Amino acid sequence: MTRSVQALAYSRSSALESAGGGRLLGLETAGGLTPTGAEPHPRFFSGFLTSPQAAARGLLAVADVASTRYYQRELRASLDPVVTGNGDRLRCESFSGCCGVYARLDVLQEGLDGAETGHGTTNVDVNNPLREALSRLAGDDPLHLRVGPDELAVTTLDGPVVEKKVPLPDRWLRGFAEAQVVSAGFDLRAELSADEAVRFLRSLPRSSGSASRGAMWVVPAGRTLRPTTRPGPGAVCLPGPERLTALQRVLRQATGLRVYGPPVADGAATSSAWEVTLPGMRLTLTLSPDAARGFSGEGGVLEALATDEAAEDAELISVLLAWEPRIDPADLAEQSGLTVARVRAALVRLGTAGRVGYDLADAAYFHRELPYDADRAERHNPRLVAARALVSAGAVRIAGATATVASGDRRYQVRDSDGVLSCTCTWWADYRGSRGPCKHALAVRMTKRGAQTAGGAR
Amino acid sequence: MKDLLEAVRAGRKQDVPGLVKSMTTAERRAAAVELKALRREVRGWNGDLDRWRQRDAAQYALLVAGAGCHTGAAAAAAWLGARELRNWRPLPTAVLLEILADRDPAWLGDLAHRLADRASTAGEDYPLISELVRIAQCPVPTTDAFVHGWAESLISARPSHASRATLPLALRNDPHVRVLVPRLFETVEPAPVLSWYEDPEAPNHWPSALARLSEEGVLERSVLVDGCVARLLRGGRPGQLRFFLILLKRLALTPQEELDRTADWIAMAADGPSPLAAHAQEVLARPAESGELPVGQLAEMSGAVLFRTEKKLVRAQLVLLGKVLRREPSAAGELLPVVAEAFGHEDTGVQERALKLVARHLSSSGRKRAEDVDDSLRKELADCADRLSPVHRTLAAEVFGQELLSAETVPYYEETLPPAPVPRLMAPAPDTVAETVELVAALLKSRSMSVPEFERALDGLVRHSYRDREALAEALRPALSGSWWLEDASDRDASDRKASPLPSAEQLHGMEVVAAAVLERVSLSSLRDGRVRGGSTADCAHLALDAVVNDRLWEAAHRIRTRPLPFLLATPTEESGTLEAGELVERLRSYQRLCADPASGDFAQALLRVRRDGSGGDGAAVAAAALGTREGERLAAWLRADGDAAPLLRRVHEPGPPSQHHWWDRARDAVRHIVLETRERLVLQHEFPQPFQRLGRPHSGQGRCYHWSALESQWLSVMPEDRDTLAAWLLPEVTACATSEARGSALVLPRLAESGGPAGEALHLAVACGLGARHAEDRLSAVDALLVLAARGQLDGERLGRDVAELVSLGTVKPNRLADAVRTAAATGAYATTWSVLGAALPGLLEAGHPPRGTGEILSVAADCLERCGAAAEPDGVPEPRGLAELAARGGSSQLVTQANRLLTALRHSHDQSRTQIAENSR
Repeated sequence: MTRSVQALAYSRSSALESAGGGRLLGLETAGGLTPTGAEPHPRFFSGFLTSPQAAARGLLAVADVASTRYYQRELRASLDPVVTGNGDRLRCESFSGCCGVYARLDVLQEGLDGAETGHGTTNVDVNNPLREALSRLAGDDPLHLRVGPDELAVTTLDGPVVEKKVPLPDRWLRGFAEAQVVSAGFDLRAELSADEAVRFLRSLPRSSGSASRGAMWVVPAGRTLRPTTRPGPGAVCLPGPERLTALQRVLRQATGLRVYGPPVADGAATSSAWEVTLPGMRLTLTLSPDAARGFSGEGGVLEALATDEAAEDAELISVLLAWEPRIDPADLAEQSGLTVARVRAALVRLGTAGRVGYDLADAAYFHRELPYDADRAERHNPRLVAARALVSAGAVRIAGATATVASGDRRYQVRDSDGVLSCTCTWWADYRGSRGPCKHALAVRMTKRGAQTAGGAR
Repeated sequence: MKDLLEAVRAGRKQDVPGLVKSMTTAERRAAAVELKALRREVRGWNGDLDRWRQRDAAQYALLVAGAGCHTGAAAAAAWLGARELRNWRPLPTAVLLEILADRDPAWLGDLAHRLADRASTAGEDYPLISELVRIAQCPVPTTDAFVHGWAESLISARPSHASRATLPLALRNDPHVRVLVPRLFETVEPAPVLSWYEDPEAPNHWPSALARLSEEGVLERSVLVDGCVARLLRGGRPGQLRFFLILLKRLALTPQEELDRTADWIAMAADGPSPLAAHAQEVLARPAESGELPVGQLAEMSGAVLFRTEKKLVRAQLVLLGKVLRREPSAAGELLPVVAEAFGHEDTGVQERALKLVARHLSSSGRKRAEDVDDSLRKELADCADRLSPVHRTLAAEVFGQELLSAETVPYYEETLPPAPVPRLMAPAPDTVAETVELVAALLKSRSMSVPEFERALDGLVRHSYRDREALAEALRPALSGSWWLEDASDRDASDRKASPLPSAEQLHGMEVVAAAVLERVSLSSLRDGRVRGGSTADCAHLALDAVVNDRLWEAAHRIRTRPLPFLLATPTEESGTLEAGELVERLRSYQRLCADPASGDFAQALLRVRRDGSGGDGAAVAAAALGTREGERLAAWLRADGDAAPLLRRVHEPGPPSQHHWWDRARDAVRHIVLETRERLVLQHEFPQPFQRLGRPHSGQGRCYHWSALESQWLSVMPEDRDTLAAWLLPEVTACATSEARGSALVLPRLAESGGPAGEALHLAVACGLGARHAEDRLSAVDALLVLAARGQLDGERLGRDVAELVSLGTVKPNRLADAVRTAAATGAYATTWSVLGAALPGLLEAGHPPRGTGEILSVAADCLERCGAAAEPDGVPEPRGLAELAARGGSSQLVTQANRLLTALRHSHDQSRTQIAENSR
């Protein structure tokens, strides 16, 4: 497995302290991008949290996801959450070690007592004493939050004090980035009141034992969600319901639950997103279609990456981004002179590179730059690499709507029906396109696009 | 160096240390390169057992030699850490230490830490690492895996068996105990060895040993206490926290120590797993009762605990609050609003306790307070009273006064049912060869096949064989390459070669037969013979269904090679398998035009699939008769006849002596259950071709059949308009879901509910069994089926209720499972539907006088349904089931009696309501 090692250097540990009669939550930062460029310890925020308990629990939930593997629990992977300042809100993101659960806490302006935040993305330190302090945080006295070093501390301390080294597998990076693009295809499916949300979330199994097996489906029914074994229109897949355990942390503070999912075609499991609304905040968990299957293998974006068509557009768009909390494609189209469709394609590409995230409640992308080299991971997607190899070996022969791809001593037939490619290989037989195109279909797509651009240049 | 490599090659590991020692650093460096190449080479040494043994010995020698020759600590650690070289054996610590004896201590320390950093091996490498640390005199590593290895080593070391206190001794003598014990509380997963011994007297019981060491002063008490509390506070699965809770209890905290950590206990009581929360609650109860715990903190703790679902914790908290309020009535203003949190608890018993607690202290606080404060508190609490169950309404009115409660209106009740499923139409037949090839390839390569995929692939093969079989075969061959039956017999096993150059039809599964026929890879005679013989004749409806599907495939294959059919008559128009009569008439007309001769099996299957519910059937019958062909007349007659399900014979299976049965059948047979026999149907026996006749024979529905069917997914499409007969045949498997550990057989129920034909005795009985299934997903399937039937207006609640009651009294279905299923059905908004079932079940459930354990839960669901839908269930009032009043009058506080009372109240309330309504209407 390809992987790199991420070294994080914090100037000190994050902590919850009592200071001058009030309480101060100091989150330390390490590395990241701001509008002024890369910084070792960016500062984004200093102000008050309106609902300290909800915020503390939301933060714990995000940290829970970061330190958990929901599949093959014995393996470890723990990375610190990523915090983005979008000017009017703070976003705290994490991605589970099994690559199947994405969590984000959005602290909105109401939750920040109306204060503004800086712009940029960085890692924040979460450690055991901090977790314990957050767990025992009681009462609703105002809590002062600081993201980034104290101004005094910067001048008095030199050299990093807390160092963390964490392996970053390629598939983890890919999954983190792709979860965004996947959720961009979701719609709001159900909205539950606080009481119903608590009842529903409590009814879910907490462990992956015999109580749950595979995916569960729910359909909106009256004020609540009805579990079912026969998904119909409007149904939402809940794959591996035990993976929503992190939401138990915020049940008491929840003001509602919103459920998002893609349109359901047949009974095949899909990913879905579960958003608990809190006072001034939103906590969202996005689940991959199977606990045993990370987002990285879903391949929903491979077609967009199969050619360099969108690459230049993406580069152009990326220059125009400035940590907007909500990206408006029409705006960008005007600024860049591209069509809205091309801007959207470019955003998908930027999403896979970890440079934009997707906010379901706003139904819009937002700008954030993952502090990892996610772009490299996506370029090395195994299926994409295999497809390129097929193309360069001249394995693709196109004849009208059907093409033949020679791979080894087998020949596969790739059929084009209204732009949708299907194949005769086992991957297609198993997933019927629900996990993105197979390498043969990708190779055909590449060849066709290549022929088009070559034809156009002539 | 040459000697070393030879020794390694030969696997003489005992020679290695001596040879390495005689080498210079430069020689060792060069040898390391050679060893790396040798390691690669050895990896390929497999084949026979001897070679494998050589490889094993060489790898062990390699491990030792490499450790000696790598001059960098990083490289040495990577070499030693490789799983490949050690072959699941522990590292040879003594040999390795000998070979590393001449290294610098700092280098050894570096190596120790690098080995400890390797999460997958550091635990088992503990002996080597600890020796390295001892020699290097470096700080001990503290990685998770190393700490786990250390903890385990203390138990396996066993310095002397004579000593009863093995573990305390080992800990006391360990040089690093003060560094490593605190790490036990910090590893992500607790070291497994900590909970190996459960008996507190066992010499290796960790909690006792640690407590003893802290008493002796070897370990600081505060380290242990703080470590435990912090670990418990961080949370985790109950299994992860168990050890720390035991240790904490064993350490017996002093009242002062407990009081110092109030905030921690509150957090644990709020969020910990049940056992931990119960302990935290106990700890906090002491200062709360003595008044040391500030009321504000007690309120905070109570709010969190009362929000929990565990009845035990909530009750204990209410008791605690009662004690505090009695001692300190002035706290009512702060505590009573918190008590009201429990008004929303799902258990009505808990609600009642909370309400009574409020009642007791609301009045008493009033005497000592200013009137207006009391009033506002009363108002605040009354607002929460909405969440109370209607059964407590009278009491609530007494407590708060009727005028403060939100006016009771007859709530407008609306039943929420899922929309009735709309039949999904089949996609058109594959138009091109390419699409057919893709369908067939997908079907043969994946393990699952849905009805529409199967039917479209089959129809595609038939259609395109008719048009141009050569072209189809040419496109199909590469897509299926790799299938064994495509290869020539000479390439296959010698045993096969003798038989026939071509595979026989019996060797091919499912759709393979048809694909093979297209490709001329199946012997024609075997197809024909197989059809005549018609397979096994055992009394098993499942085999009969299989035979029908198989026969259709063989027939299609045979016709492709003899007289190709233009297309299939039986291809359904809906994904469930149903075929519209009008469409079948059109198809027959096309056959007539093309002068095609219908295949008998295909036509028989088409007849079984035709919808015969009278809607437009008559028009189709006239059109069919007008065709003037034999098939047309047959269809017309079929459409005019009524399509009853197979007649059923119902009886109860009594368990026989267990010795008669196989052990794997005992679980199923040991429980009484209902058996349905289907009797013979002469129409099928007389008017249908051979394989269909078996469907018309009587099937006993008894016993278990042992066969694996690849075509199970197609069964429902054989008789899509006769679900009750199918339900009777599938009943034994669904029953097994309730009586034994069987799993997944009830998944078919929603599909049956969506199919056509009357919903009769068998389907209702199958749903009733499914509602009591062992596994949640099976119960959920039954709930789905119930709701679909209700949505289609086909549910006979009365019948289902009686079935359910009978199954419970037989012992087939356990009441708690049934309660869970009906609760799920009701909670989605189908209260009236659920009541229609439970209402009918109650007389049967209560008849015996001693209802089985768990009946209280069912009564609770029934009461909930009636409270919500009230008179909407039955406009002229609900009759009171016999036995309920007697049960309610029994007294006591058991769930059964409590819920009987609740149900009785709800029943009488709905009577009153309907009477008022009738009075209003008559006015």
